[in-house]
Amino acid sequence: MTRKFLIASVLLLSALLLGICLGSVHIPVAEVLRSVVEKTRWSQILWNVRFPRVLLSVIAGAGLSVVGNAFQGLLKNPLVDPYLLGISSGASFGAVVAIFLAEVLNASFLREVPTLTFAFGIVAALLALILARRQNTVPVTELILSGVLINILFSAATVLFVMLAKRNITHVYMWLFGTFSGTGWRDIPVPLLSVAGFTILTSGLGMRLNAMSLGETEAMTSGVEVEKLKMLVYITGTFTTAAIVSRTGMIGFVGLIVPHMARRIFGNDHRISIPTSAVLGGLLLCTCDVISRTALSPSEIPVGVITAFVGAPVMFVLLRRSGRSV
Amino acid sequence: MFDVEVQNLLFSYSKEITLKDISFATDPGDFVGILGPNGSGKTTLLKLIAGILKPDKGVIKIKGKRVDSFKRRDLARILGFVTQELSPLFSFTVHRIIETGLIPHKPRLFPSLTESDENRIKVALQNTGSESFLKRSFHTLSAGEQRRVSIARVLAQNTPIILVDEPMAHLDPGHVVSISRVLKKLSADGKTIIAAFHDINAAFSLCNKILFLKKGKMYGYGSAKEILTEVNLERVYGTRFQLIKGSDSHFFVVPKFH
Repeated sequence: MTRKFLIASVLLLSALLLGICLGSVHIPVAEVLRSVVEKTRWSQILWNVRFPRVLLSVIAGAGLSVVGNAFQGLLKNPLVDPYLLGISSGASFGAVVAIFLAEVLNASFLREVPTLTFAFGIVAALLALILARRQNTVPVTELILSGVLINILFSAATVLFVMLAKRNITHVYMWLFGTFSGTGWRDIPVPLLSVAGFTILTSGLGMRLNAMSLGETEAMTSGVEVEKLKMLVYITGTFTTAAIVSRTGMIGFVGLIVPHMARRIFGNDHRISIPTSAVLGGLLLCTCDVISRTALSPSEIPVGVITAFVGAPVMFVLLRRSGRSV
Repeated sequence: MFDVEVQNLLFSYSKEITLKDISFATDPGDFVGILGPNGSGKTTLLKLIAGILKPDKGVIKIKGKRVDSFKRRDLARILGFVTQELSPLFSFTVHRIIETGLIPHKPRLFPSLTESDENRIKVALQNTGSESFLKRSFHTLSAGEQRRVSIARVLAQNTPIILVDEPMAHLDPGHVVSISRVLKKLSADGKTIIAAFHDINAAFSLCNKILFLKKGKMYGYGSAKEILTEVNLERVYGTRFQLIKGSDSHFFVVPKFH
């Protein structure tokens, strides 16, 4: 277990270094290390572009994976991802509105500040929670259904808005498949704090999440305040997801698959699988971002496309090796 | 003070009433068997006692205090519930499953297991004859072994009152006997047990009190010998039974097929 964790951590650090060195301009490792301590001709590109971009890819991968893991255990459903509550389509709608307003009002700051995206993501999630609520409880089936409903509504609204706005949709297209392009230091603090906070919280609640994975009745009779726990994890998880998505756009697959990878490699105990999901998620998304910007350089492939192409074969191998259902 | 006290209980899932006019009380150390045909409300009654469902009318008290006034954590320290089937989403080891029984006794965040916790898990496994399963994956156990682990989980919870839902359902005779021994030992150790049964003979041999349910109403409550008569059984189950005295002076109930 410790050996596997060490290997994953070393791989993550290697991916970080690779992400910093590779790109439209390749920078040697020695130059990267020198730029950390003194000003070099690479300092500008490293400090303003590469460092924040690579850091955000790790944070986003870790955050989406941890939220996916916690939601799957909480809802006793292996197919749940961080976008369960309709947050993705809500945030997409917010992004489209922001891009549209930025062009119409000639206010480019709207494109850079992810406030509208974040706000619509949260609104969508809250609507799903309110719709699912029945007499102080949030039943799992109702929650999943209301999340699907909110997703459909906001997706339809997004398409309609794009049609009516009659604008260039390149930005929208990039956003819908996820991108780390244009990441700056301003994009780091909120995702970093929320992902770190959520990972610590849910790792601490690991034994309770294990009990939830046995069933709500079992958790309840073991002394877990089930509805309070669900609300705590939904709300903090939604906030974390919105903090990521509002800066990176929609990155699919990571939050669904990485938790299963972590469980297969490190075991099902949430106290272990949550922090290890963070490491594996960071590793996967950082690697995928490197591929996305180097494979067809100078063009960039949306990172969501790469996560699917890289993650699916890895998951397939793990499934074949373990030979058991989740 | 009664361990469990139920007064004039009324409960319905929708418009149709599931349980009506249920009143009974258990003394410490009682082993109460709830018997009745399918759909008579046995599991619902257990869930009401455990505070998972809320009654439409009536009062349920645990150790003299209304069940709905307990915090979950406090209630879990005095009442454990072995559900009919434990079906973990992920393939946890038996140790991981049993340690969830310790939740009411541990801090909410970052609970760590002490040596005495590990001992408690070990004793719970020993008392259910499942000590060899400790490191095995729950999904690899047979139905009877899984049932024993479910009981061990609640034993680790260390509560004076234990509710058990259909402990012998879908088990072969060998496992029925082994689960019976486990429950008998718990009762002998002074635990108050309320269990829903399909197997009348198991209830007859284990319980000192029987609660008969028929179509959601209480048909009778009293000592097993008083209640389990051929007449009562026929009225509750709608079929004729014969009481047969075994060689060790135990009675057995057999339905008449002809």
